[in-house]
Order: sequence, then C-alpha cells, then structure tokens
Amino acid sequence: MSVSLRASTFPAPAPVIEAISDEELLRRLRGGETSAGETLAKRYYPSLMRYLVRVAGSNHLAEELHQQTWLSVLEHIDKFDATSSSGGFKAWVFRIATNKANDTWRSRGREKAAKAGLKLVTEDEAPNASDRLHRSQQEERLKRAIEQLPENQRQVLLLRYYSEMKFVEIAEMLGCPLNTALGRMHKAMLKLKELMGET
Amino acid sequence: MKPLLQHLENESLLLLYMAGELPPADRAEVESLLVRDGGLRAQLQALRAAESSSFAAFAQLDAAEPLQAAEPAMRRLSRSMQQWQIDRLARPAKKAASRSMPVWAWSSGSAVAALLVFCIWWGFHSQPIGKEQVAGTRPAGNQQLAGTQPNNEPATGGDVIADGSPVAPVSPTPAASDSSDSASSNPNSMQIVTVDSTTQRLGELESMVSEDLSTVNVGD
Repeated sequence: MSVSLRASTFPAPAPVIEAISDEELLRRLRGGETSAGETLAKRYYPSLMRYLVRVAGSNHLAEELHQQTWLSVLEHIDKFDATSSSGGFKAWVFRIATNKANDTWRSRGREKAAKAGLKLVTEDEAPNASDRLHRSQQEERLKRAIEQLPENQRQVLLLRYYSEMKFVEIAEMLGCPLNTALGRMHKAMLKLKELMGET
Repeated sequence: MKPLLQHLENESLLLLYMAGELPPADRAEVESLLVRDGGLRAQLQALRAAESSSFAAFAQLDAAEPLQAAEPAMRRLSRSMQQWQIDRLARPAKKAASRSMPVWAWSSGSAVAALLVFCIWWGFHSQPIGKEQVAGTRPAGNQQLAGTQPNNEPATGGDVIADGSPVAPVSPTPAASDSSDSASSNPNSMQIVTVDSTTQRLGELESMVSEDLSTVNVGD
C-alpha cells in the first residue's frame, strides 16, 4: 500500500544513473559529459565530506578540500587508469583528498591549521551556539577522543571507516607496508577505546 | 605456512580476518588456530569490541553533526566542471593556433617582403648605365633633376659614378654655356638633363680637351 502510494506520489528516480558504474561515468566525463562528473561527485559526497570533516576538523575547510579534490580529479582524469589502480576510482578520489589534506597541514602548519580549524568551527557554529549547549557530553567526548589520536593512526582509521577501502589499498595509498597500516589501525582502535573510557 | 601468516603479527592477521581480506587458505589456517588457541580467541574478541566501539563512535558523531547541504557545494562543483570542459575543448584549438603563424606575422612579413622587393627594384633601377655615366647624368629613361641628390645618396655636391665614388661636379665650360642648352650653364639650377644632351656635352668636352692638348703640343 505504502509502496504504491510512494510510487504514485513521487516521480520515479533515475535508476539508470545510479546503476552506472564509476568506470562508465568516468568514460562519459572524459568524453565531455559533465553531468556524469556531477553524478560521481554526488555519489561520493557523503563519505568524502565526512572523511574530510574528520580530517580537517571543520566544515569550512572540508568543503574547500572537497572542491580542491574534485578539481584535481578533473585535472588528472586522463591519466587515471582504473585497471592499474587498486581500489578503483573511489580509492583514487580518497587518495587525492588525503594528499590535499596533508598538503594543507604542511602548508599551514599543524598548529596554525588547528587554530584556524578551531576558529572556523567556532564561527560556523556560532549561530547554533544554543544547539551546542544541548549537544550531549558523549559526542563532545567522542570528538575530542578522535582528535587526540596520532595523525597517522587517525588517518588509517578514518580511511577504513569512511572509504571502506581494503587494508591493502589503504597501505598502498599511504605508502606504507601492510603490517604498518594494520598496526596503526590496531593502535588507533585501542587508543580510541581507551580515550572514550577515560574522558 | 603462507607468507601472510609468517610475516604479520597476530593483531594484523586478526584484523585482516575480521575484514574478510585474507586469502581462503590463510583464512582456513587462522580459523584452525582460533579453535586451538584460546588466547587468540580472546584477542579476536577484544579487537572486535574495539572496532565496533570505534565505528559506533563515528556513526554517533555523524548522526549528531549532519553534513552541510550538498547543493551549494554541488553547484560550485558543477560550474567548475563546466569551466573545465570549456577549457578542455579550447585547448586543442589553442594548440593549433599556436602552431600556425599569427596574423600579425603574416601582415608584417608581407610588408617586409614588399619593402625588400621595392629596394631591390630601386637598387637595379638606380644603377648607372655602364662606364659612359659621368657626373651630372642619369641613366636613360630615368630623368633626374640636375643639382639635386636622391635621398639615398650622399650630398656631396657632385654625382656618383658607377663604382659609387663621388666625383666633383663638372663646372660649366664656356662652350657649354654658349650652347643652346642654357640651363646646363648653371649646375645648381633646376633642369632636366637627358642622356642625349649629356652625350652631346661629352662630345663637346672631348673636342675641347683635344684642342687644348694640340695647342700645348704645338707650344712645346
């Protein structure tokens, strides 16, 4: 009943677009079909933005990095070979995003970026200051715990959670041995658990 | 033993096992180890708990902090993509344009070529006609105002012979001044000197010189 109601009320979504593989959309984008690129960007927007927000520490910076990531994707799209790149397009996009985030850290300096991020967070959320008061202590604790993780451990954990890439792909992306990436993941999980328990 | 089992630590192996990223043979091996080793089972349980609490923390945070609306970001991205496409299409045309000669090069090249042709033509036509050329004369058909210099010649007050060296202007002789061509008596006056009159003058000069020489010889 509800299904038929929904079907009659809402126009049917375009299932064709959703069913199209990344590779096919890439091929179309290379051919000049910008709508294919938009579909790709929409497809990865939630996971990529969430990842960037956690890495950058602010929505504003994350959005800037998201934009830079896609500009870089467009710039190098002709060089990308899905068959030779492990993890396919998604791994490639996350790799670019990670590099962009690392570049930002390097260029601004970690402390400066942290301050800027903090400032931006404050500015972003200033209108919602009352909401912040209502945010549970548990969420604040979680956020602080994630931010306290060492950078390399946090990166593996975030990539694993948001990109759902395989450990082999994560190790390859970060340019470290598989055992190192797994060790970081293990330490990150234990540390996070410990931090959440402590605070 | 398989390489992965040899080289990886227990935690790493268990992480790969949990993630389902072990090859089937290694997976079977780990499962048999888990059956035999209680410590490893406990380790696996601890890892599972840590992973689920970590991921639960992320999920909780994501739920508490909804993403900013995607539309503004997508609009910006859409504009960037359209601009990228325009630039991409324009790139081959730019390359082709840079390979071919620009319009200004064609026009200035044509102008230079025309100037060169004119200079060559001028050079040929301003040459004296052989050894007969003397001061104050010009080649046939190229009438020149006597006493004036063309722009490209040095203002020596005289004329230029075939080899380009200036010679002193010929002063008018009494015979020449007596001739019907009265204008030739004054070399600074504006007059037209043709080749015919020049050869006539040349003949007169030769006869005068021979007469002078004969009188000198007679005197001696």
